[in-house]
Amino acid sequence: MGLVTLFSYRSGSTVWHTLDVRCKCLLVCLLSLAVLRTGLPGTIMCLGVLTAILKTVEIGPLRLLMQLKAFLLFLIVIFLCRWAGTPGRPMVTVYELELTHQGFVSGSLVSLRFLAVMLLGLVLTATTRSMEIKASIQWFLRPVPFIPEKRVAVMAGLALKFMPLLFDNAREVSYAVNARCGNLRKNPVQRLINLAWPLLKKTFQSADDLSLAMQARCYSENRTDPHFSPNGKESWIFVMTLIFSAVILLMDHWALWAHVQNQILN
Amino acid sequence: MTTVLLETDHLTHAFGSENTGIFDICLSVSRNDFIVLAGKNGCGKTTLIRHFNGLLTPKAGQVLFNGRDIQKNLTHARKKIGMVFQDPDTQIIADTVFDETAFGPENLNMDRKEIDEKVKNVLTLLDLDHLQDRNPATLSGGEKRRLAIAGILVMEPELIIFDEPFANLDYPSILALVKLCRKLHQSGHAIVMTTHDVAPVIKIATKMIIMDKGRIKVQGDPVSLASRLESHGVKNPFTPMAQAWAL
Repeated sequence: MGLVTLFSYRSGSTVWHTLDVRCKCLLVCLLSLAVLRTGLPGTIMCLGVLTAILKTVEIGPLRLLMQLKAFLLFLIVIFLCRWAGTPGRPMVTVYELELTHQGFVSGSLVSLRFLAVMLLGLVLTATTRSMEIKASIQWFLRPVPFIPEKRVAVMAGLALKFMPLLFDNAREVSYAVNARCGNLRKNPVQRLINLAWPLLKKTFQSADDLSLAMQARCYSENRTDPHFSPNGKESWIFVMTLIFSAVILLMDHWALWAHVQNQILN
Repeated sequence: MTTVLLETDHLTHAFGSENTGIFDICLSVSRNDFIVLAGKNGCGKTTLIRHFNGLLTPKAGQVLFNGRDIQKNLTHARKKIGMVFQDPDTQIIADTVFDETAFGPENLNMDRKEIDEKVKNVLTLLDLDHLQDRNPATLSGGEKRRLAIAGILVMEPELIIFDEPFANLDYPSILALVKLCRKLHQSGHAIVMTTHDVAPVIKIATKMIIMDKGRIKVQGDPVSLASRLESHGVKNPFTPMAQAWAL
């Protein structure tokens, strides 16, 4: 029996599952924009809410940490680069390298923003079938002239379909490498090559097989799309999200205002 | 009366060197046929059946379905000739069992109500209706294989092609699959099955074709051809050793 990867759809009857997919896409866009405009407190608050939502769809914080290990490592690298590369008031000095307060705040903000946007995407993919997302993209793009909405939606749908497949392949390859003690290798470049090369081959093979299977079942752009089925709670959830977005944006303004006042008083 | 459903006329498809591929294949599949296509790995079985579904284009010769070249109307051919791939994971596209089954009819642009009805019927037929909201990745090997068959059956094919259907299946799943194949055959579907383990189906198949090095070596009644299997690299299910293994 196979396992469901983090980005796979998991069936359920929570409000996030039954919400109209168009509304969900709008909310994800709205919250992403709010997260990109807010500061550290707003981002942390948003992360808290997203973690709670993910818990309701049976993705607990521990599972998140375990499955996003590589991504978290990437975020740590971003954080360290920002911390070391931003000029300002010194905080710590390591081997003549000054790590600043400003760098610490900026690094935390950028990496937490990345994490928040990733979790938003995760909430969407874990509670929405890829075919519904495809149908909603098509619906949003329909009024836009000169854009082949069906083709774009097919591409987005395939990308969404491919993401869990990629994670699944990566897991299989890493099991196979570790089964032959590949994890004992000290050289990180060699470890990366050991993982990347078979993963690349397997991914291309999977893409090829998937396209054959789709062709065998007459895949085309002109197909019956799933119908949208609103659960009736869209309007109040939209209003709540608007209020939440406004709150996290205002938090940033209050923080900024307090900072300016402190500067003036000092 | 036997009606010819599918025919290949001197079908050839060579890959690169002249030694790999399929060469000069002439065969016919009738409406009431259950054909076992046997041969060792790399003998061209999968290449041949991919031509039946129009997934490959012949280098020479043609594949005729109901007397018409399948390349002239691929959509019709793919609707009427269903293909169950060797690895069901590569055939599974959607996020739920229901969506996966509905994938084919959606591609044919059928009406939503009609799709829902057909999918429900097929899922009930294959005893998958209780799993309709499950993610296919969480199903067992046997359930995935049945799901792959459901995705084909819902398109109402006349001919069903199975590529190594017993690969990676446990004994109860093989038994269930053989029963299902027999049921499908009895309900009027022609079946072509590639395998290098002919034991589960040798008694229910109506014809066996043995391939070697891309060519048809021999074809005829499955039981009477069993003794010639081993010379082409396929286990004869009636030898004492095969019987002992089966035990």
